[in-house]
Amino acid sequence: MTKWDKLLIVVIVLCSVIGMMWTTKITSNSDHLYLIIEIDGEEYKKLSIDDGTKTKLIPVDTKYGHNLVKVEGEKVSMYESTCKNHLCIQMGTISKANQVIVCIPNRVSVKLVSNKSNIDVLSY
Amino acid sequence: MKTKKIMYLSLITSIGIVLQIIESYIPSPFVGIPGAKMGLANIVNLVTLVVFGMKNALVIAILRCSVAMLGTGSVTGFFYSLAGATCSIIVMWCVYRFLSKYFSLIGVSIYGALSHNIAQLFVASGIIHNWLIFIYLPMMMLMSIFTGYFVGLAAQYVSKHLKKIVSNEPCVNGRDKMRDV
Repeated sequence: MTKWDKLLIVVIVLCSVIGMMWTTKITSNSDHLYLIIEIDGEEYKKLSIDDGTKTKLIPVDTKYGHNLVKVEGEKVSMYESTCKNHLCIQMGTISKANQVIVCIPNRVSVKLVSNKSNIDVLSY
Repeated sequence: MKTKKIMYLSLITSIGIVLQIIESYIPSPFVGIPGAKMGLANIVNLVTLVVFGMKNALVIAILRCSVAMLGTGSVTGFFYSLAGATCSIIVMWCVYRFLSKYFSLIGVSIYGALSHNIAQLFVASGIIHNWLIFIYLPMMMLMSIFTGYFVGLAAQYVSKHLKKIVSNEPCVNGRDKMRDV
């Protein structure tokens, strides 16, 4: 361990802390959320979710496999998957805009987007 | 000398394959980050890089990834590990070659772990056509410090002894010692 190693570690820790703060900022909640399910980068299903939405299960069947997405109010999670490693289920629950669940073996990605843009106000 | 080198390289490759297969059975020590791994097979990459040079390390990485794919049976995992391994070897070689004055093997391996993660995220975002997966980068960077430190420490011990073994054994007066035994 030289002093440069320690410096490298400190720099990486700083970068990742700043990155985490930034990602929590861009995944912050805004007024209306849409759930988009994509397969191989192409939109498969888009639906809007509100607080009032009761629990429902959305089946996603493709040639790559079968997935079941669970929507519970504003919380979305992968409920069932035929993939081998089940990392998509371990990714847990997403409930904020710009968060994402991916299942790479089945080429499925589930993301939440909001209709609000990143720019709050423009002044001239 | 040539036969000896081939023997060492094939031994190292097989150790790497075994490490990678064993690692796929160990549950992830980092809770909450899906897919984070220890990167045990990276020890092999780093040791080969230090002892035998970059070309051999690249050959070993490609061989290891393709054979380990047959062992673990995950084809998508093959693309990740191949991209990660080649990228991390190139970065580690650059750091080891030009900046080894400043960084010890631990620093070199942290660079390797970082570039491994970034390459994997690039492959993943290419497969699913979604750049949002880079949200995981900060957490993976944090993890790569721990895995990089561990791998660097292990590689430091291994390469110290392996260098001695490799440089002592082969030649006595230009002749292969093993032939006399």
